[in-house]
Amino acid sequence: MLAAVSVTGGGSLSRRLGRGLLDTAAPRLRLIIVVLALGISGLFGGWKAVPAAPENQYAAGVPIDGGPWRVEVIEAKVAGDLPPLRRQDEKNRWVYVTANVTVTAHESITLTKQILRLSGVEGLLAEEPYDMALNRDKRVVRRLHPMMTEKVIFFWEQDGDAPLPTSVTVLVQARTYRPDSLSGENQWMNDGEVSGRVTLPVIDNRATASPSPSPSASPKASARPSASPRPSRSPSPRTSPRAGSSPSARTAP
Amino acid sequence: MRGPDSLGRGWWRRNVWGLLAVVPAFVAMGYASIYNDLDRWERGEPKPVAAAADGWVDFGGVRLRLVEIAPATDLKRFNREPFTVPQGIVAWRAVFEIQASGPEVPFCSVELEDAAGNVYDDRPDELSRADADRATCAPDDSPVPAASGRHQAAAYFVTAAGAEPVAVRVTFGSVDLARYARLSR
Amino acid sequence: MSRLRRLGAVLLVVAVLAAGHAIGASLPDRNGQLRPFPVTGDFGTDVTAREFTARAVAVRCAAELKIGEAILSTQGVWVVVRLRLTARREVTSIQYAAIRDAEGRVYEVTDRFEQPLVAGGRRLQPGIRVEGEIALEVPATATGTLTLLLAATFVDHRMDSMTEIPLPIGDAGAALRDPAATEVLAPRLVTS
Repeated sequence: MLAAVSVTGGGSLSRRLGRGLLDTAAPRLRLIIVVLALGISGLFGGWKAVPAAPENQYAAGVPIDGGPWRVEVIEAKVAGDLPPLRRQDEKNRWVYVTANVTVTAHESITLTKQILRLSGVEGLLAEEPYDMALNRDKRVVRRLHPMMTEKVIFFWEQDGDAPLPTSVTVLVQARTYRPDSLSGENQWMNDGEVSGRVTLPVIDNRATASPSPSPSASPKASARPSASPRPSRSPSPRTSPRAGSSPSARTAP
Repeated sequence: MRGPDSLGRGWWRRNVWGLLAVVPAFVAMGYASIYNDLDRWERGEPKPVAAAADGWVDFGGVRLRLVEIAPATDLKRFNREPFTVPQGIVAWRAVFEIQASGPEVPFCSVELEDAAGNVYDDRPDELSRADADRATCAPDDSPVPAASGRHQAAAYFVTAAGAEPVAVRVTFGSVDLARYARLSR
Repeated sequence: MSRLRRLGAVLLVVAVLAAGHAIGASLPDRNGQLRPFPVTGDFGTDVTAREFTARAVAVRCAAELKIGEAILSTQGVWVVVRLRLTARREVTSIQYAAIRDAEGRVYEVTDRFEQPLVAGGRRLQPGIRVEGEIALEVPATATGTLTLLLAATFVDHRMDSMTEIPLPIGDAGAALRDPAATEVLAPRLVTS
């Protein structure tokens, strides 16, 4: 059989090879071979069902699992001036969402700005929240730790010319733990999926003095690619041995 | 095939050349798989450019020569009061001369090298309260006025007491990342 | 006879596939292959990583931290570690500090206030020792050994060295009974 095959045979080569291979086995064995092939692929996971995409509209207060985090969206409000957060323009508003966030992954997560997105609000200056604050002391925070649920407020700045939102859909982003195609490592990868949507009415909080986040320093690097190893030049308190680090007023992302 | 062939040669004799060829092929395969990383590793270690016989280093389009590396004893704070160097460390001032061929000198980063091979950064955090700027190599920042095409640059470092500085490393990052000028005492 | 031989060939192929799968499944996964090289050392001794030497000098737990005028509370417990750090041959800074509990959960240093010693702010010059305290939040129920992890890289620790120092904390929850807020020491030079 080999002598009759040419490497440039094209379609006829595969046909001849195929028929030749099948013919080496007795015709009755063909069925057994097919069954065996399917069974072997099943041994290695070929028969796993593709999971159906779940319906992902949730009510407020229901825990939504996004992969490395579990989020219960509680409420949404809009406010004007929230010092020390600084708006780019006096007319702009802050749209903020309060949620209980639990990191279910095994490591602290610093890129918590990626957890929520808003939909149904026009004129947001950025898709990502401008910043987040811990509800317990209203200090700016980025990093959340495993199995320590915290009530976190996510802030978005909205252009003052856009209409005041009356209802907003909060999207809980999903991450999949799978191998990175470049390095082969397992990481929480962003496949652009949303694991849950919560539609909330937006409470207008502009008139009353809303609990504003207090100053704290956020870490120097906020996103993985821009993690800057260059240190800041601020002098460190050296003289008094009991000086605690004083928080600076920076809340910039 | 099994057994001796028609000429009576055994398996080993028939395959001796093939077996010998495996060795260089294996080496070539090994080198091919790592040469990319080797190259990247080498590029991570910049090479020094040493001074010529007259003491000047020709590098990055400019000529550089070390003037001095001396303990910095007269550092001042920003309010002109004396700056006391913390106990146990020594502050150093390294001055070098730059002769540029044109009006512009590329931005430089300066490091100090000591006898043990340690490398220190210019304007460390230990001197953050002192009025001692980073060296930029620009003629405007020269500590002494520029004259006859030459100007100077001064950089400040700290080392532990007992360290012996031996050279200043000047890198022009925008021009050549693979080398640095080594101005030795 | 030939039919038996063919069956044997098929079974051999299946056996080879199964053996290959078993070998592949038992090898360390890619994350394990690329993990950082741990440098373990005892508490209170100098632990030498690739770029720096670290010594965990003291550790204490607290229910609250006093940072300037603010009091920071936590649902867990604050672990405050006093570190003595020295760069080895080149200027470096500690950009990663975390505590790993017995179950393998990693709690990174808190960012609720500025910690230049371990957030890459404080450059370490070779041979000059800097001492300061860092604070981390862990759950009060974290039992078993807590290990302090330090690295000079911020996010990508693959195949670089990381120090692992077990912390002698008996009962983290015991600190919660004392409500006094503790202060955190800023980085300073050590001359002794």
